[in-house]
Amino acid sequence: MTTQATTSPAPRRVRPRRRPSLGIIVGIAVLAALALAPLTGSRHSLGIWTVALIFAGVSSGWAIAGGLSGLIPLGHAAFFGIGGYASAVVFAKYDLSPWLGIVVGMVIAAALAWLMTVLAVRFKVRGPYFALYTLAWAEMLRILASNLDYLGKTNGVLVPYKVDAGPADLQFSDPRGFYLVAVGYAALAMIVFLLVKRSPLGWRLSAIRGDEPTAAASGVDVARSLTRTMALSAAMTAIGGGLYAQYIQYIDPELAFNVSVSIDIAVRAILGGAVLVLGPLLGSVAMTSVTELTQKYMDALPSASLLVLGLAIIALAHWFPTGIGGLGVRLKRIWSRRSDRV
Amino acid sequence: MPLLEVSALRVSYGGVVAVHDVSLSVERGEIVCLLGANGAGKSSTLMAISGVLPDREGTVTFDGRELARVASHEIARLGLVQVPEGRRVFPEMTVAENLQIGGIRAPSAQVRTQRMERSYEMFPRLLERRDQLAGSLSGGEQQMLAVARALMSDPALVMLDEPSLGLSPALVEATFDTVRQVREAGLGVLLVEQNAGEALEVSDRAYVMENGRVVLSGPASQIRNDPQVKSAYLGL
Ligand SMILES: Nc1ncnc2c1ncn2[C@@H]1O[C@H](COP(=O)(O)OP(=O)(O)OP(=O)(O)O)[C@@H](O)[C@H]1O
Ligand SMILES: [Mg+2]
Repeated sequence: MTTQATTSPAPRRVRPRRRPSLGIIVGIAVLAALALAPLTGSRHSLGIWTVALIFAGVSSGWAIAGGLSGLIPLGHAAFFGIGGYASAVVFAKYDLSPWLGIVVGMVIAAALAWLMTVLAVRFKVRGPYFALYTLAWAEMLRILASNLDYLGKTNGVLVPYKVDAGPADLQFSDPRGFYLVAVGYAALAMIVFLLVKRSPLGWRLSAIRGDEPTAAASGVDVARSLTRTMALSAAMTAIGGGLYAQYIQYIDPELAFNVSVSIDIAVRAILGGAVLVLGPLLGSVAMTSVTELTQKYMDALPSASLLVLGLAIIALAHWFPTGIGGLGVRLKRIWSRRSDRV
Repeated sequence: MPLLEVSALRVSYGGVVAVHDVSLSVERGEIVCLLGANGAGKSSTLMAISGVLPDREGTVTFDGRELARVASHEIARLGLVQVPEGRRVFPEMTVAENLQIGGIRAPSAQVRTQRMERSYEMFPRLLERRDQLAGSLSGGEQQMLAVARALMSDPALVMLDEPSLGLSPALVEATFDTVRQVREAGLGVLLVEQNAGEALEVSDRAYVMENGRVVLSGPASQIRNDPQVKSAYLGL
């Protein structure tokens, strides 16, 4: 009996359970508000916000790697594009549910991310080199897709309308349907991010981010932690690519794999705060708002949105290196200090 | 057989050789110090032993096992752990979290908790600062934390790279006391120090390195009286 007791797997949880943070509560509130917003009857720019939410999810996927591990992946268009093509091809060519296509995309993206990271670890590609290295992978895929007949070369793949389509085909007669799918995806991506952050893996990642050789010398399996993280991050990103292609009913090499897509994904997360659950959502909302507002009021200057964003990033990097979300964290700290005093 | 046996170790950085043909050994319950001027190759030797530097030749045997093809996190698991130069704690993690990372390979949560309690007994200061971010600790506290974190893995051998660097005299004293304590627990210690006088006092044996080579080795008491060492490292 006693031997049984000693051989039974011991509890592995190493981190004390934490109270739900302010970030989570605000996150739930924001997502609920977003989900309910179109029900008020206002459908103003629903399309824009659907895309913004898809990108919030994609950026949360990026942040699993880019925020938690300290790696700076700059080629997430690779995974986004794989998700997009997989869902489009599976639906358009094989007449199967795009949901299945998204799963296929997740698997391929995860496998590619795994391979990329194994090689990067093996050859010690880190820091800015890792950024360029991942960017090169996305670029390779762009060229590949532009030249493959199977993927329609530079024309890409069209997602056909289906008669009597339903949610299983990711086509909705009411545009609010897809909007809700986007809210759901953003929520899922944030939950996965949070689970990783608070798991033993997240805790290893935080050590790797702090000091990689020391983490390794303390017994942290750096290679395994990083490959797993990148694979998961890629899979979460691929879902967003799949949803995006289904939403705009079309995917081509530029929409899928262009460098600007990779940068967009990373910037949204960094803008909002890549180590915070809410960061990518905030960053995405901010970025879409800036783009929309500048297009509306400064349309004489076509690239004004880029200018405004650039300035915003510089200002944030200077005053709030942890992003817009960092502002909240700081306010919370001031608040709790005040309430301590009372 | 010694706990750690290094023979003909050679380390290079991009083709430039930093350590030539170094051989040394450490027994259980023994403190061995590695002395030498700046740039002599002491840190490179330690990092090569713990597998952080992959560009190495020669053999490193620990507890009867050849480490040539063993990854550094596996080496830590086998019971050989290094406290790197410069108080490398994980700055964004709390003191407790740093210790937990050190105990990442503990067989169970209970064992990990026991070891944490042991660390806090050894370093009561860390208990007071348990929930403080490691990056905001003082230099001496960070050094304690780095040592405590290494001990969390319940190693058989600890390699310390200049643990007294930049500490006040009282803390230097405390650091060497810790080293003695570690030895009393039956562990082997490989100690790299600039503070040659103190190091030779706690050590059983010593090696002196110069330009990547071991130029002198023997019982610490003998090294301490070596005229060359006296003039070069002890300032006598
Ligand atoms: N990452 C590196 N790349 C290139 N050369 C290096 C690197 N690290 C150390 N070296 C070189 O290897 C030699 C040995 O350095 P090492 O750090 O091992 O010396 P050390 O004995 O620990 O010196 P100190 O007492 O100053 O810490 C030096 O000439 C140093 O310049
Ligand atoms: Mg050194």
